[in-house]
Amino acid sequence: MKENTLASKLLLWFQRLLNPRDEHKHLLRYSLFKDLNAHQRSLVASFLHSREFRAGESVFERGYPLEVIYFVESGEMELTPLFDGDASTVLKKNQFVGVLDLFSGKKRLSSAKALTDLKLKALSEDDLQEILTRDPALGVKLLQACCCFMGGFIRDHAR
Amino acid sequence: MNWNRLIFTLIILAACALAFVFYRPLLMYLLLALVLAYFVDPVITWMEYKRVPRWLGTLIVYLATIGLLAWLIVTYVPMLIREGNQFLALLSRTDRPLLQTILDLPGFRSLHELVENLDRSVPQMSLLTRFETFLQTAVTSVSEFPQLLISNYQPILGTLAMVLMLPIFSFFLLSDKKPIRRGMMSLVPNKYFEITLILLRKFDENVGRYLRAILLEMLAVGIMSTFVLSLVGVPYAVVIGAIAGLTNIIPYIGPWLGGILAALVILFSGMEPITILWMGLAMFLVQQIDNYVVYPAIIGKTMRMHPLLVILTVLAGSYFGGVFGMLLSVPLVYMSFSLLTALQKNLKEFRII
Repeated sequence: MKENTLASKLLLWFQRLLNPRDEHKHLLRYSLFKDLNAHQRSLVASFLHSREFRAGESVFERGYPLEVIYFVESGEMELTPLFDGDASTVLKKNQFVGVLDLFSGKKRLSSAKALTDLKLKALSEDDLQEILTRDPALGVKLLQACCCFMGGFIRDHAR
Repeated sequence: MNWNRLIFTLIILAACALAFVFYRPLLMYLLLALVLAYFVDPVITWMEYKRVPRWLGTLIVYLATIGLLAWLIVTYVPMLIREGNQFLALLSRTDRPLLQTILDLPGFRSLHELVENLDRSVPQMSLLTRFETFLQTAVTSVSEFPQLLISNYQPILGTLAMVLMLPIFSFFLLSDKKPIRRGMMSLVPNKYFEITLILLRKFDENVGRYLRAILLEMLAVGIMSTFVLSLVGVPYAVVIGAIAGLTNIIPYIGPWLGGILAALVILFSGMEPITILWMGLAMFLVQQIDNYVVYPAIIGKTMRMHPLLVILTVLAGSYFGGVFGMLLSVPLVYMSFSLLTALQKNLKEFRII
């Protein structure tokens, strides 16, 4: 049966309803999504955009409007500087950037540049809002993960 | 200069130009399919919240719409066929001239008498001759209508086929909304990725809000027109009310169309011409309620355009795209303006200009 026929789509939907297949397990590697179940991960994945940057290419500049949270899939990205006087940070696979900026007036607090060839996943703020409206339980899990992330960030900076 | 990059860009531009030329005849239909998709999208998104996949949600909405249309056809078409047959019988009578038969209808008879009296009072204007010439021209045009349909059957069938394709275009736009968007976004260079997302959101907000507001206004005007036409006693009040609601979206010109149709129905159905006056007053009242209550409440500050600009835009729309152009010109101009404003603001914020 062809994949795109209506009957096959119906059959596939029933099969997935009875026995959901976890196609987005890789999202568990990001601390923001570590508590999401298979359905929630598939919901998040349906909103992610893939972006590729070459080494040396700018990802965003400090002061830009914040529109997306970037998740590093592969490669390295340099973040400079989060606060004046801070040293630059290197983000690697399974790390993300943009969550803190979401809570700080929707402007980028830092600049980002690809150190190596870089593959990113991007989740727009608008899509994040839609995900939270659709699945409030997912929203609670994300909020918990955000709190953990920010707690860790504050602890690191207090030392 | 990077020659490889330049050549590749030129090839892409040439391919885009070729695609534009190739698909140009379909652009208006695609645009209409997009409008249809925007109308239906909130329902499908709501179903998606309830874990119904988009393709299934679209299918459910389509089946429900087909069911509703089937019910309307079963209810109203036999009546329309009956009336149409009577009208055709009137047109095909050979025992006396058609003009004479029409002038025997009570509505037209009274109107004829009125013009006759006026003509007697002011004979210099030869009103009666003018009225009869006008009627004769109208009758000839109506008699030639079936012949016109037969001689132009190919373009008519072609347009009909394209109109029937609209729901199919919309189906794919609705069910594959996310993959289509992701595909489009993957073509955008990194530098413009975030700004494009912002503009797309702005476009979604504006178009969605405007179209849904227009739909609500159409419904309100349709229901009010049906109600007042029923009160006046105009036949087919529901059908005329629905048409009045539909044409109401053409600014300034649209509201007249429902009234003209109602006046013609009154004349042909043999009602007294004074009913036209009552109908006109009732429709005027509906327009006042629409202008001062419904429009500000529903559309509110969605669209701020000067009335003169609206009229000029509608006229330009009719010049370029006929009735569809009239329907789409105002929202398109408004949308372009608001998108350009957002683009300018964001280009500055992203330090591109």
